[in-house]
Amino acid sequence: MFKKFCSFIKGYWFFTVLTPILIFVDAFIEIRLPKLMGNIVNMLYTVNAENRHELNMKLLEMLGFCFLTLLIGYIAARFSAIASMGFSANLKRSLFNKVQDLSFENVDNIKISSLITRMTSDANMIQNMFKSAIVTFVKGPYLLILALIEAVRISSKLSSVFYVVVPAVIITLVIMGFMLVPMFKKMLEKTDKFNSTIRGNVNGIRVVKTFVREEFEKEKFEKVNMGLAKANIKAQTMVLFLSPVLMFIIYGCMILTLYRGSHSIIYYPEEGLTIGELTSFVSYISQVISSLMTVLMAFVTMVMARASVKRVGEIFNTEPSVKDDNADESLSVSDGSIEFKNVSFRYNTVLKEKDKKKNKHKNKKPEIVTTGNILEDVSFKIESGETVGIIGATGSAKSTLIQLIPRLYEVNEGEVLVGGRNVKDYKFRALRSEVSIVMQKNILFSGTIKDNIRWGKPEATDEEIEAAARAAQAHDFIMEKEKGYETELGQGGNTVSGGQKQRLCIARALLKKPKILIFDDSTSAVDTATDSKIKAALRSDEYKGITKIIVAQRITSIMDADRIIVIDSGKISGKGTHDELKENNEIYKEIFISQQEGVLAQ
Amino acid sequence: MSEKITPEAEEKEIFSSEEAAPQAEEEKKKKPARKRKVKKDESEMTEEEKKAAEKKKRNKPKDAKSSAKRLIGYITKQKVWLIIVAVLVVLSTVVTVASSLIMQPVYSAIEDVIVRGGNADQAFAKIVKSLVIMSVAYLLAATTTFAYTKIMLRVSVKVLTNMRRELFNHMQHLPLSFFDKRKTGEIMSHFTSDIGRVSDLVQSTFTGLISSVIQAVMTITIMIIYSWQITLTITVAIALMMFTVFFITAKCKPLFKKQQETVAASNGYIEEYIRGIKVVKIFCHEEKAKKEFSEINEEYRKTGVKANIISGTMSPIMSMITRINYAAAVAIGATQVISGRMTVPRLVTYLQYVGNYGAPIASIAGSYSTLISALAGAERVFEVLDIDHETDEGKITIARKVSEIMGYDELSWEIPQENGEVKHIPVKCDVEVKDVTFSYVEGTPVIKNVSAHANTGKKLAFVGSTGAGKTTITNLINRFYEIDEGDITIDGISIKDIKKSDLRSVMAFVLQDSKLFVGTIKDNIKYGKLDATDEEVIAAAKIANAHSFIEKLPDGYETEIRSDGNNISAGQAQLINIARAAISGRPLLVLDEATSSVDTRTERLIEIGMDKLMENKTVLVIAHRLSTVRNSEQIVVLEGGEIIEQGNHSELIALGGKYYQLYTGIYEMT
Repeated sequence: MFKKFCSFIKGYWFFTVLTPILIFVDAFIEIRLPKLMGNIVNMLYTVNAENRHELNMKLLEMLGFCFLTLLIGYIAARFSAIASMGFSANLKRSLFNKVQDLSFENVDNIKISSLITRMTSDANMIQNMFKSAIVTFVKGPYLLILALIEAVRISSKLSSVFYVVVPAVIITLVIMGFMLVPMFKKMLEKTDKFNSTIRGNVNGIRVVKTFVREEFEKEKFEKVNMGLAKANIKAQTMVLFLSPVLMFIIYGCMILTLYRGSHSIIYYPEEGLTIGELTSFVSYISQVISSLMTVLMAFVTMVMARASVKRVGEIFNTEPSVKDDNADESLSVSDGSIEFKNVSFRYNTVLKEKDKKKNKHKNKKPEIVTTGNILEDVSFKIESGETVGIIGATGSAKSTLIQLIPRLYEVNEGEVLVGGRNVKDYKFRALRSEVSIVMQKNILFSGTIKDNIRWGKPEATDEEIEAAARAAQAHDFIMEKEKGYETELGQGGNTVSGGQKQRLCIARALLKKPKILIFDDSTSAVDTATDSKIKAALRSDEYKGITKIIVAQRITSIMDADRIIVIDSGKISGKGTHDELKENNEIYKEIFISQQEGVLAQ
Repeated sequence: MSEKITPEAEEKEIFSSEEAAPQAEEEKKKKPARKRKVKKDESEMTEEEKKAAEKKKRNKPKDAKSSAKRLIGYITKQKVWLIIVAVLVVLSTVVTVASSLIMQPVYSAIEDVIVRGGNADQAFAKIVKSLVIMSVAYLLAATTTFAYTKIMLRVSVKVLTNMRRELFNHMQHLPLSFFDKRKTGEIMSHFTSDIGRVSDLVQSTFTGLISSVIQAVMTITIMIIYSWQITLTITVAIALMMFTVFFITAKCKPLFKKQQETVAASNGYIEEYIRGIKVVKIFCHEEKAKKEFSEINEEYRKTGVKANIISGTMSPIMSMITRINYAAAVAIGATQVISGRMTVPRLVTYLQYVGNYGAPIASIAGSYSTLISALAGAERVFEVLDIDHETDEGKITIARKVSEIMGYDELSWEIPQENGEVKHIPVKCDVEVKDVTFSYVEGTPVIKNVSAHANTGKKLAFVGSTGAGKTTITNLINRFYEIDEGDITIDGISIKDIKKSDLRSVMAFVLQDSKLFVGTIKDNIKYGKLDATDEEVIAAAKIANAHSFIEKLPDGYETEIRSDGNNISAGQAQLINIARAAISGRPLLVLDEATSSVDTRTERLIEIGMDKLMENKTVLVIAHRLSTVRNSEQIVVLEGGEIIEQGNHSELIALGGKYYQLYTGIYEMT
């Protein structure tokens, strides 16, 4: 993993290596400055008109160092900015590209919201870590060591104070750290609860108001609000306590040093300590303690970032579970026929952290568990140009079944054939450009309506786009908009209603003019009249030759299909036309009756 | 009519995006709309981008003065504590600054011995005395610092908690339009970031400012006392520092703003394309997405480098100025020492202060921006607090009396008469909609002259295509929105005359997507009747057909509903909603697309549950699926907010109009 992360420095090695070196020079000068100032102070005690020149030279020397640090500081800031931003950009780009190559199964396992946090906040965390790794994490120890060396050089006797101080500071910070972790954890929990209470209230405000539960909600809020306040005070008091404790340590050291130092100067002049050295020593004390804290803070950042590194690393370590490496480049889908031969499928799920731990005790390594077969021994054949309905209750694996056709998931047993060839033989692009799915959950992207429909075919003309929109019954509502096809859809396409969204998604799929078109319950938000119009358009010459698969829960949406496949808990329960199934398939009959009651009663 | 402005469409959006990204939601609000084309003319800006630009402006308070006044009002509620804190801060700062002064006697005593050959023991005794005073001073400084930060923490948490409570309680009484106009994340950010900024201000800026001002003033005064001549040099340095700070911040501001924008653009792109990753793959859009992202990413890198270089240069420049200042002080000081106008220990002590006055000045400059952003945050909260409560001028209330025969609550309208007496009319829930016209946005009516009647215990249905205005009618009946023209009456009483909470307490709603609350299933059912017993909960669940699935869950009725609601299906959630309506025992039932998001088998289960629930109740049904409305006494077909057909099922079928088309459209092969 370290190797992987090193690869993101590519193109910025020069800056990455040079930054810590510059920082070292900077720290070296910074450490010399108190000593220089001590010299200057010493000279002040003996200064007179004759040796004034020497003092001036020392001052010039100091100013020279100052300009040098400014210059180095500027260059270091520049280099570290270039290095860390470059690293971050490389990281984000590879992460984005990697995720683009993951399969549906990988995405399901990691979960979309988790992917997004990993790519945004975790990536930022790693960027910060990188920056502190080449700047703060380098400077802290440099300063600490150099300050200690200088202090010892001034007086090894006075330096004995560090034997006490350094461990004292470290122990204090570590103990506090340990005590803080559970407190902050609790605070985060309370914050979560606080947020979810407000969110629940806002989302459910209609329920709150219709049930006249405003007072009840206020009480509920009061509890989480106070709970959060208490946890907050507890955790932060601990943090506040830190500052006086450290103040105490620093000041204690200074006083002790002043005592011993002045004692030494007064009673043991043979030890050769000067007042200037004493003042420099005092400033090294604060230097040592503050760099000690920087080091520890950097350490905390590292520890915090470790979780992020792990989470991001997991993405890089994920092998796409479906690959087209061995596919035939030249192969293209010849026609719209589909065949399933004894197909079985089950989802592979990665165990959650918690369960993993439990498992560790029992046996070593079952990281991936599989569910039972979602699809079992499914076989059927669809001819090119046919319209086939698939029906079954929620959870009967209809959606899973159709997602095997464009090889979004990989079958566990058996094979799926498209255009007479196993789907594994095709390159993804070749296969998926001929198989289009309009999904249950419709997703549009920001950009204009036209941009979105054009996804189906990047080189499409305006006429083609309009024709697709007309067939999807989207043209009319698009034209009602002020800017028509140029209307901007917000993020996630949230400026149009659910039904309109579905129609735009259908237009997008139609524009592609694939050989196989699959509708996965994709007209649920469209009213029945519009639904019928879309179906009529699909029967027009334009789209006639396309193999159409319509997945539905409602018999009326599929009863006019050439053939219907009835799925019941992962198995095919029946195949045939509406009339045939109505007669000889129990499940179909049951669904039909449940949806027809009113009509029969008429 | 554009579907865009109906709240039903908006509501769906809120729910759908909420479902998808509970946490990310909040962040999304802060981001401006992502621009695909990075450069764009002002005139080409879309509505959303304009809004985003406006939002950015809101980072500055519009009326800083009055917001500050109000904010001070909140803070001064803790007056006594604040005074104590102020005293402690002053004490702690004075002690800290002054303690450096004690250094001088130490150095002079040493100098006395080594330069002038003074008595060593006497000098050392003097040093010890100074050091003891110093220890006491430092100890005092440390304890006072701890004391005031601790008090301030309590005060700030109190301000935070109070503001949050006030905002939440106020929100409970706001009209629904408030919630329709805002996204959840936007409201959440008032509670988190806006109020958080105020609390940061109270907790650290207040004390920090006092301490910095005292520190700066004291340090500079001491320096002037020690040597006003040398101190003259620092005015130049201060001017230089101020100039640097302001110059760099001014230069950084647009850069950081731009960096913020590119970060937002990059995060927005990631969010959108990862959320839509399955579509990306289906349309083989991976390579294009990679290319687009790499462009955005490069832009992010470039602006990031620029912003970071400038901000990284700030600290070297500042320390450089301090050091030049030190050198200047030494040079002038040396001249003074030579001419005998200054002693060396005095100069050495003075030099200590030269390094120290920069920090408080920088911190004063820095707290200005915290103050501004806290004021902006407070202002946004105040804006919400300034929105009026739902109007509720109704005088008529509900009287509840336990019927002796039935053991059930008997409800009646309690109407105050002019002569001071009260008249009681039994609640029958005979609902009449009379010539109602309504618009969310003035000039575009969503409902036009709609009239309908639901007799006691009967079912009235509204059907029509998406955006026809069906849901709006329910929003008017419970007075989420106020009618523009016409009237709605219950038992002959205009709903405007009824107190809102009492009006709503006769109605039970089952909404299309009504969310469950975080808590147990039992809690959720009991929401309909807070004092319900366990038996009542189970009875209600049985009516709603929910009992059997709840029992199968490992924790039964104690199953926790998680905030993402992922542990139960949409259909099961809807059954719980129905149980909630059932337990409330309310006589008027409103079903708004209650079954549109579940499959037919579940829908059947729900319908069976609902039939039991509907017994002896007046029911209003909203549906776009017609199988659920057939047995209604009256069916109203809406189109573009107007009634186009009205009657019972057979009448409407016989009419052969829109209803016939919609109804048969389902069964037609075409």
